[in-house]
Amino acid sequence: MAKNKNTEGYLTVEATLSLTIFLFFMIFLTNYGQIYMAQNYVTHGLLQTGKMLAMSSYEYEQDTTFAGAVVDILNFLFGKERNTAEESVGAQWKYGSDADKKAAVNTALPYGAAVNPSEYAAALKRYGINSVVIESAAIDGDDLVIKAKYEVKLAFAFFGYEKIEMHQQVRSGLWK
Amino acid sequence: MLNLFLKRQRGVITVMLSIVLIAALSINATFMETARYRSLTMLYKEMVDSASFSVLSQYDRELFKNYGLLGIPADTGKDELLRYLNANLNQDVDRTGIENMLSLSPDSVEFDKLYTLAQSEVFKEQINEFCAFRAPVTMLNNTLDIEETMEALVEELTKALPMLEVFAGITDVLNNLLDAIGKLGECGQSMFDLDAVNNEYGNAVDAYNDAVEAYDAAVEELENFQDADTEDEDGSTSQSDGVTEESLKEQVEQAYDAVVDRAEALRSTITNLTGAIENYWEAKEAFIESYGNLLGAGIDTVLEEGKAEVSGIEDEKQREQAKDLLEYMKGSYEESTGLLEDFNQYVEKTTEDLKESAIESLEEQHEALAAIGESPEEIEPVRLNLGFALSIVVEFSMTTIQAFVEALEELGEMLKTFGVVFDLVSLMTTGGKADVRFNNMLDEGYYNALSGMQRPGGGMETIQTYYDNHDPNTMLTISNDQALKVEQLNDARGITQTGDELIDYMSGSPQDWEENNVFQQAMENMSYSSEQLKADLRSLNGSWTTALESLLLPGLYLAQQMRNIINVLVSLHDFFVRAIELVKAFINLGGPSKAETFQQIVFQRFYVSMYASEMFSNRTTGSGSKRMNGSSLPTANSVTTLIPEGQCFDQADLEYIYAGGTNEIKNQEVVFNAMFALRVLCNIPAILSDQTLMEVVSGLSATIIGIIFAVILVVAILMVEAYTDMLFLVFEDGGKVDIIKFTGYYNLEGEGIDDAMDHLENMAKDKFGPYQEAMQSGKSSETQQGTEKIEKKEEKSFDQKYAEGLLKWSYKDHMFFMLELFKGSDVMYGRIANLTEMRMRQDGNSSFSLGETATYIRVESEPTYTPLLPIPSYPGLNSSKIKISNLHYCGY
Repeated sequence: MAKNKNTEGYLTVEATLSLTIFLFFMIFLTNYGQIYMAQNYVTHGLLQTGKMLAMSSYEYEQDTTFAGAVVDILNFLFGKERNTAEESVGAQWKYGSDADKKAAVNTALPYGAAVNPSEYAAALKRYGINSVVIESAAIDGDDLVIKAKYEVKLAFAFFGYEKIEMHQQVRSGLWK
Repeated sequence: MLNLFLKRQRGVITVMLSIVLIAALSINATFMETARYRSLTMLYKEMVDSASFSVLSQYDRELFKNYGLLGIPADTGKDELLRYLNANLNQDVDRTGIENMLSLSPDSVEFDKLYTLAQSEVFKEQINEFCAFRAPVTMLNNTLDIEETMEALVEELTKALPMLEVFAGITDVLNNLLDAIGKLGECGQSMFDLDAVNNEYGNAVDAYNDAVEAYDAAVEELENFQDADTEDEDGSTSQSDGVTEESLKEQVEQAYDAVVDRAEALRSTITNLTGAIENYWEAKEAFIESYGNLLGAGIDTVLEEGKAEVSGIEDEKQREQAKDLLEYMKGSYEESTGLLEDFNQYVEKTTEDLKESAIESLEEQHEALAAIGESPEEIEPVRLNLGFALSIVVEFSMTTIQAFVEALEELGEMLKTFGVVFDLVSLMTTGGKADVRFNNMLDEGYYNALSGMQRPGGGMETIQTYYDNHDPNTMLTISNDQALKVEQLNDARGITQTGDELIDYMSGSPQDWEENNVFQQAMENMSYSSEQLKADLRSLNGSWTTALESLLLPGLYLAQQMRNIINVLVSLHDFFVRAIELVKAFINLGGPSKAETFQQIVFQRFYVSMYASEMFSNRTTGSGSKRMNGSSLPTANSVTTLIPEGQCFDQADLEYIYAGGTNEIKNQEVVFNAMFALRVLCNIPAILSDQTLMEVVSGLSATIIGIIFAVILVVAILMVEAYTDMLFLVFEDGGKVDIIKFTGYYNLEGEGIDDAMDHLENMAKDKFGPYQEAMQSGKSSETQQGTEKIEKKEEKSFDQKYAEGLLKWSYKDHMFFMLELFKGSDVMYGRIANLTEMRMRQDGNSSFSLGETATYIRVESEPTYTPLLPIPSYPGLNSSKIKISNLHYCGY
């Protein structure tokens, strides 16, 4: 009987130990999946943005008419005059500094990442991303190089980690 | 036994949970890795697509800038792809554990470049897409306006068509008439030859008879001497007067030799005379046959039908002129047939019996003379033959000469005017202003090695080559790609075939639209004839008196040239009707219900013609021309760079596309002749509606000689009119002329000629004055100022240009029209490819080859990654890494 008393609660202990490990693993898998989905989404968005800007560079390089240049400069200087986001991107791209180019990427990113740009913010939120920060958008020879970082908020805090920082770069050949 | 297990209860939960949870975790991990595999596959595909797209962005910039063609340079390939791919895979980003989960390693990447620009279908597609989507605005506008322009053209041509049909009807009549007249001329010429040989024969007969007479005298003297000598008993030879029997015998022998020589000469003359009779006979038979054809051709009916047809002409003035012209032609036809009938009666007197008896008699003489050399006893005087032929020849020739001289004396001054015009026009062009200025010649070996000459097949060959170079067993899923490509290629071939068949059908004969076709040949013949005619007219101007002395043969010669020209005009008319049908067909294709394939082939022909005329320079492209975005006009750099001898044309690229020769001068001449012929055609309405000219024609048409010169007169005006047009057109940055004229520069009152000459002088002054001054002063800035002055002067409003563009065409516009109608698109594509390659090499890329400029890439790769989660594994399959298979095609 004494022998039996010594074994009381072993089920609980065993279950506690095993299920804890199991739950840790499940939490890990959940976080893993979320990070992975977030990375996929952002990488896809940046790839498409790079492609779009690399292609539009040709369009704005080729638009050499005086009228076109005046409209572009006005659009650039007086943002209110911009008709569409795409025109704004083109003007920034053509006449702007590096900072303007970063701004152009920021403007274009929702178009590259989502079918409907208005859904971009909701998608980021869904994947636990506060924002995608464009670290740099520079011309390197015939290439456009975009570097971005973003933080993914984990679904379950894990050993003190509530979010994790991710990096992504995209290099696209410019059509110019 | 059961108790044994029941008693050992410690750890059962652990065991149970281990078994259950490990299984559950493994399943979860497997699901996670499966999801990861799927998403990585898609992400990797997107990355390969992005990298491939970036490789495509490294297209040959010069090729695109100058020719609108997209191609990957030979030195761009796998390295570029890996550079982009690795960058996007974050290969050069610091990895810090889980931060970067793109752990793909792009191993075993296979990179192939497919479909080079040297392949005909690829090249076609690029040019067509450029014209449709990427062409500069000016070309786009041309494309948009072309249908409207064509409609206007059809309207003008349709108005002119009844007149052309009348002209074609007239040319039919003239052709028959001139054929008979030409035969008459040949017959007359054979008569003159016969007369000349007969005169020789008469002289030879006289000479022979003189020799025979001398021989008879010598023989008689010898016989007398011998008779006298017989009376002397001693038999010695008298030496009193120095005459001996030996000397007399020698004299007889000499006389005999002279007779033999003369007989031989006479025999030779008889042979010639027999030949001349035969020639005359053949010419006479040809004339009689031609005359019979003329009578049997039902020309009265043709003329009546023509009159019925011209009643449909809308313009009253033109309608009346056409009717008048037909009336004149009918009258002259009747007059001409009357004269031909008279001549026919003459020649019919030379019957077969007379001919045979004459030849028989001559042959008897010939044989008799042959016996003279063998036996002196056969020597006899001969009598003259051919009195009947001689009388006809003399009578006819005198009549003919008299008629020609009378007609030419009246027409001399008129024709001389055109000689003056030709000479003045030629004088205007001295100094190389309108002459052929570019004279490079390609090296044959270099030329034959160009991509356009190789013309490898389409994608089918590429696919086959790919299969030949790759082991099918190691390829991934190529079968679907192959099927797709084969299907696309078959579609493309179907389109081409349909279009070609339809155009062949419309043209009547497939060969007509090929190079060296009937029409092309006819135009060249016409240009040749016109050159001869111009030369004749110039000679009339230069030495009229001398020319008049030998006018009979030039007159007949001109008539022969006229027959050539008229034949070509008939051919031109037929072609023009076809051309109108083609243009109408193009316009009618605008509706969406029409067959798409035919529409594509028609547009393809338009596209390639437009591409050629807009993108490549021609002999008129001047330094003041604006360089389009995309043009082979030599750049500032290439002008100063010495063009390698034999490796490129100087400037006449468009002429090469039309003519296709390696000799730049010859190409320009071919184009000039073809365009000249086209201008002759386009000027017909203007010439035929010239009231003064028609009155002169009617006056001339009263006689058979006059009708020849009436036609010569009309054609001479056509020639000089078209020649003047050409001078306007071929000036550097030259002018424009009406597509279809209704008023010519020249008329017989002299004012038109003066006006035209003033126009030419002014044009030359405007065009070349600034350049000449700058050249003389040697200051390039002045040249620039001159250029700007010209450009400023030529500026017109858009509406003016638009309205003018519909009705007036420049040299380039004519070239576009000629390419569109006369050249097969495949021929043009090949030559454009050659030019592109040569120009690219000339501009600095000496190793450029269309055959190494790909338009499509194929990327086959199998990246691997290590699973992060524990998943069941199969040794040898995924024991260490998981592989992703990816095949990607990407192109322009």
